[in-house]
Amino acid sequence: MNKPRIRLPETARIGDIIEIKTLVGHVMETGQRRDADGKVVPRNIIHAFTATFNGRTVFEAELQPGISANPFIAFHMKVSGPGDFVFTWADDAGVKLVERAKLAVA
Amino acid sequence: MAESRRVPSRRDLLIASAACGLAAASASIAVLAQDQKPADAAAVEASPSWQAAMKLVTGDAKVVEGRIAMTVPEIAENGNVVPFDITVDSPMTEASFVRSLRLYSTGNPQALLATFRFSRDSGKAAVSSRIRLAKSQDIVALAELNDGTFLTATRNIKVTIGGCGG
Repeated sequence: MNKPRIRLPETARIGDIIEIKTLVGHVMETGQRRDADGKVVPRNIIHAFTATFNGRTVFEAELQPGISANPFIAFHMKVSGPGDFVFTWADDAGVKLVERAKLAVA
Repeated sequence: MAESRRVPSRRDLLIASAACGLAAASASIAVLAQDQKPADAAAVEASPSWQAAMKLVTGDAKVVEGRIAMTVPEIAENGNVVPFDITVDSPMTEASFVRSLRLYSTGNPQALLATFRFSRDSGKAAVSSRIRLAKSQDIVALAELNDGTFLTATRNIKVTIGGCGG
């Protein structure tokens, strides 16, 4: 996994519904492909994504091998005030990636 | 000869492509069991048909068609990356909200593509992402409402080059 990219509105007002866009680099290996020696390449996908805002879970996704490589996930949130997002991606190899972002309220 | 053994036979390749996604599903049960809801783990395990996978989630609950807007390409040139945007037409209040949205493939070896769970803070039951499609097929969205009923919608996507890890 490489450094994720997060896109948030620069500022929002309380009550706005904002879209949060996330993108992380990952092969999302299905477990079906064979390498040059004919051996199956083991499955390694990001199977879980979680977004929290000020400690409360806003959105969760459970991904299967049918999700494209470098998973892009966009979802919404109703703004309750300023605060901090924590995004977490977990893959089959046990790698966990955590990214934080601040939301400013005008 | 040693060299010829290294090259996957046509049969191997056919098996691999036919099973695309399925072996992955069984290999992942241990992982899924820990952090997925049982209905989804079972759906992945018993993946043969999308109807069966969906039934594991809905049980005998009422499933109504409509109230889901799906934006997908009519023709996807690359089955490896097919974008979608799905919005469930529902309020997101304490009294009435969408718990989750599942997306199923009718033509991939594994039916379930993803499960998205919303919260009361979501504001809007909408999600965008990108999927792999092995061939031209319908994709089916299934939304679970807080009253235990389900909404569903279907869209057909024509795929020019299949995306199944090959």
